Amino acid sequence: MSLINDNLGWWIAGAIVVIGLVGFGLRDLLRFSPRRIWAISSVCFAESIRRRVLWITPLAILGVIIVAQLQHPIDEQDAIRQTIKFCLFATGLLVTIVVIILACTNLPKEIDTRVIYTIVTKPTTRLEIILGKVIGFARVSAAILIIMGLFTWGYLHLRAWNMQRYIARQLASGDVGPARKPSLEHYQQSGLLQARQLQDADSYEIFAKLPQPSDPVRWMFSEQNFIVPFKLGLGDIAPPNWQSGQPLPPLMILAHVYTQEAPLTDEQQEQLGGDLLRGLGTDTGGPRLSTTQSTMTAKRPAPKVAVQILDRNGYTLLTPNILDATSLTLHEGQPLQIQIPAEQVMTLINHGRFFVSIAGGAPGWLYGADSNPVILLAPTAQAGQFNQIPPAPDPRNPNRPTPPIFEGRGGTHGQQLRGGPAEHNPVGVYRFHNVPVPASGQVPFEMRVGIERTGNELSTSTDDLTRLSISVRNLKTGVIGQPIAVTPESLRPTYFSLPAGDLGDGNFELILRNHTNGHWVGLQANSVFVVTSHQPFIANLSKSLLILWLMTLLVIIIAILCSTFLSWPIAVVLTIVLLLGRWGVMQLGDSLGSGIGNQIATDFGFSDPSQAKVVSSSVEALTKALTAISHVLPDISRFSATEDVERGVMVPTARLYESGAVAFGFGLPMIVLAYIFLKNKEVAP
Amino acid sequence: MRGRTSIIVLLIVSLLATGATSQFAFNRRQAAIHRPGQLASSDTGAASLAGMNSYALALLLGGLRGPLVMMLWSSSEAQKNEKNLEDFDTKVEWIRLLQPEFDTVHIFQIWNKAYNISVQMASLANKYATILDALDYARKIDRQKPNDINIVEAIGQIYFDKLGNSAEKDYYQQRVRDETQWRPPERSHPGDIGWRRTRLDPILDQKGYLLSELVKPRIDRPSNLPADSEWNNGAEYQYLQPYQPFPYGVSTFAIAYNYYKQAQVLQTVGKQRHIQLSSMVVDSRPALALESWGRDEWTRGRQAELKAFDKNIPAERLDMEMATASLPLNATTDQPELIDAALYSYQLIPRLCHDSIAEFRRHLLSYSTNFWTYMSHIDELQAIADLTQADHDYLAALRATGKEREQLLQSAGHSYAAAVAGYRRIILKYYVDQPILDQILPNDITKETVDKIPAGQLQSLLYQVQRILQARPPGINPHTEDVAEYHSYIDRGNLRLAQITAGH
Repeated sequence: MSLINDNLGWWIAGAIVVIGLVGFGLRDLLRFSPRRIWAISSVCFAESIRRRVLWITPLAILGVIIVAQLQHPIDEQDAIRQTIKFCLFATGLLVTIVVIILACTNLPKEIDTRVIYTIVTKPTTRLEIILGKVIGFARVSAAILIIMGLFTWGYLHLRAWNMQRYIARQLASGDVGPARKPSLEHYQQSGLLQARQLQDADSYEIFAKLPQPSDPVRWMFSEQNFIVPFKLGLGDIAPPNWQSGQPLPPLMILAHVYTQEAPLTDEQQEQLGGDLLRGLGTDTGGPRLSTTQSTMTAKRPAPKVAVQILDRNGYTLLTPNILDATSLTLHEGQPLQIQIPAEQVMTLINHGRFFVSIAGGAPGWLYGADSNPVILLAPTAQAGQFNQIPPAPDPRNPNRPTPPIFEGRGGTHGQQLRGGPAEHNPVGVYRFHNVPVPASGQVPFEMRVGIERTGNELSTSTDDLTRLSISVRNLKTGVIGQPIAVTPESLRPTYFSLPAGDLGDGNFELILRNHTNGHWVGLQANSVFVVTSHQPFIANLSKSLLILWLMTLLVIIIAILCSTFLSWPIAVVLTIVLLLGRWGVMQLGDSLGSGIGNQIATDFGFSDPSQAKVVSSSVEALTKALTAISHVLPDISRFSATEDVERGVMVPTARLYESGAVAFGFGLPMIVLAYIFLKNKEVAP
Repeated sequence: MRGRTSIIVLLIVSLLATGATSQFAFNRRQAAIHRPGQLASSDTGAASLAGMNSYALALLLGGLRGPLVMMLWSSSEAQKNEKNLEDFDTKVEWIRLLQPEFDTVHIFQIWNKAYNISVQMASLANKYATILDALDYARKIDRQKPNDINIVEAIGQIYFDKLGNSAEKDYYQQRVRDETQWRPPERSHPGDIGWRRTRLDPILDQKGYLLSELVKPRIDRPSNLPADSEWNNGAEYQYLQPYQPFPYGVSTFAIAYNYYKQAQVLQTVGKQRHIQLSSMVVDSRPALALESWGRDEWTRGRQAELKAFDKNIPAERLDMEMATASLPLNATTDQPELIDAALYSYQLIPRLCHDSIAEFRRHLLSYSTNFWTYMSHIDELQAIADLTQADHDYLAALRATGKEREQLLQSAGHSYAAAVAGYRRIILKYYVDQPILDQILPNDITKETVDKIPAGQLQSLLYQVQRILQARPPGINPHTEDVAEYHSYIDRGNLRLAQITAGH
């Protein structure tokens, strides 16, 4: 049943094709002649060329050249990126407009001028006419795309060549600032027209200190937290003979958190010796594995943590207040026990996967977790006995529970990596697996991080760059390579490379430290990439143009379908509506969700409840209908042709398949429908 | 055929009529804006050329200009809020080209780039480059619409507020000083696509004089303008010309003063009105910029003096006062170039102070709202002029011999005494509450006439004030910080006077 529900669109498309061709057009199908189709397409193509549609391409080219002069890029790479965007945008717009006009006007005009008599009176079938026209206009769009593609390729190379000279001149002058120099050197070495394959990290975490493979416990600062994933099923908790609607028993979170005295900064020491201690009581002598070197002169507050539950997207599901766990004091050897209220258990089950998050509380401590710090306990039928529910299995090794994931404090740009001396500040670790690494040489990386500053640093007459050190740990040998220094700018790409030898067999950790006081580097899962391979730019551009061509194929089919039963101006409008309908509904997004009816009734100020209800229910019904219709319209967002090319990233082959699937999956039934409409239309006496 | 010909003739006549009426309307508009004495650009050819991009784009887009601008505005602002600056500058550039005639747009975008966008950068160099980008934007508009008070004032504001007074001011001020000095021409230029300004263009020649093309008058003085009237002659740095040469680069406040003065003259002589700022604000800016320039030179002079005598340079200028206050008259240094730098600053400051005082007095003749505030500025500027003149003479005396040394020390002594008296009067006038003044001042003296009190009586009056304050129950005195600052200048003056007396 799910096979049908999950692929309903495909089933409907298949049904239309089969019923249309076998039920209505079996005779035409048996007379099917590719030669006749090609002949019709050639007529279409020649007629379009006679109408001088290709003359519009120089106009588009001129437009691109003019607009490219008006850009104000951040740097040379950005100039190329923007130029690619202009070229592909102009190409897509041009080819779409041309084929819509050609395809929508062709049939109605042929019928009006009776040119169609010369075709339908010959031994051609209506199916061949439709297919011939589709192929004919597809050839026109291919011709336009080839012209624009050649222009794009040539123009970009010209600009890139010019900019490479400019970059070389700047570097040769020796007058480039330290913040800009690494980028320019990278552009000089790698070129500006690239098509790289990027691989991102499998996971990333932020720790108080770099964990060693032999460490049983990993540590975080008080402003951090660690999360443990769970997946709860009804069978894990529902007692025997439980029936829907009956209450579920409460759950218990059992957590083991270790503590260790943290090395204190002067500021923290001042705080702990002063205000903080006076307010927070005394040291409980909490559990600790070892005592690190400490400059502490005053007593620390007792170590505390807060516990909450997050959904799969990291949003709060059950707050610490609901769990009564806003500030839990840790006692040596005693695990934390937090009860999840019975009325909240179904919420967790409904969410499927969720995370138990344990955040550090009192400063002056490091908080630690071993590989399995949290379990859930569900009461059994026997009083005082519990079922243990372990964390969700580790995706990399399903035989063991997922270990805790350590997170940094959330900031504007992601999890913050605070800057300053290593002993007082966290370390970021990106874990890569199965990266294809060359035998020798350097492996290029790309990083894009956001940087926040306190804003109250002392004003200085020298630049205060954000200094990161990056080193790599070979996961097989455990050897850490020599760190390199990187000075990123906020939300700009930073390029660096590491020796292939340090990366071992492609399973490695990238270790990031921020050394600049008062700067916070925001890390996200996709902040760091390793460049695994390159492709010629023209190959990438060709893929992009192919996606555009597939899109125009769909446009042509829809336009021809509309023109079989409408006059050409209405056909143009309907084609655009069909193409953009789904995209438009997607843009409206959440505003079309439930509650829109009540909102509109309130906004319009209906005071009569019956009137408000009528308006509300009507709007709700309309939005449901709109959403339902949008689902059967083609998803043009699948024809994403520019984003990867402009960023210098290889267009994945899967994108081509995806575009082809939409073009043919939606196009074939539309062709069959067009054929049926034309077959039943009286176009000649 | 006949019908076609008449249509073509009608079209040509319509075109000519349209041209004539638009020219008529333009002339009327210019006449309305450019009242007698109004600055009329003689550089209209360049201005028209600068606007060609806009006209061409508007012509090409026709009716699509409006929707496109709306889209660009919402998209660029959304990007800014999301801190995604890809394409942002291109969009702002297109908005500039599509809305060239709206000053509010330009004022907003200049401010937007200089403040909102620059703070999104992490490194100071990139923040600075973004501010320079805002200046470039403003200069493009200035070329397109020369002598527009809104744009000229906006340029002044960037130099004064952003480069001169923001949290990163030390970095910015130093870069402006360095980059305004002469350097060989660069091979890259604004015409290169992908080019982005990372530093200011030099404005000085090798001798420290403003480049001739930057001080070349471009607008003829109207014959009907009164002889004593000020006048913007169209030179980029007209108002810096009297202060040449600048051997150590140009202060950001000096450049701010140049543009603020242009804006003020555009207002008072050109009768233009700023669309966002009041006339009073525009009128007061030149005086404030000159004052800030003087204070900037003061800091630089102190830093050079400290360096010359191997003293540590404190972060705050106030802490620099006492570090060299006791400098003996036989002090020597092996870095005479630093003494030259300090002497240059100390020589320039009194002049800047007096010019600033003149500007304040001119302003107060038209706008009396801030009378007491600006009177305190005037009194303080006079004291700064005396103190720094004295510092100049004292420092010069260290290197002089014979009679010249005697004269310099005598002059320094007089100036220090005047400065000490000036600061004491400031404290009495502005930082002592009226009930206390009522107790200590002679009957014929009021707060307004404190200047009449002989210098010799000021110290004892301040002593009385101190005794009264000490006798009061403890509480917060809002003037403590200001008074302490003035006392440090008084102490410096007194210590130097003691050195001079001992030397004699």
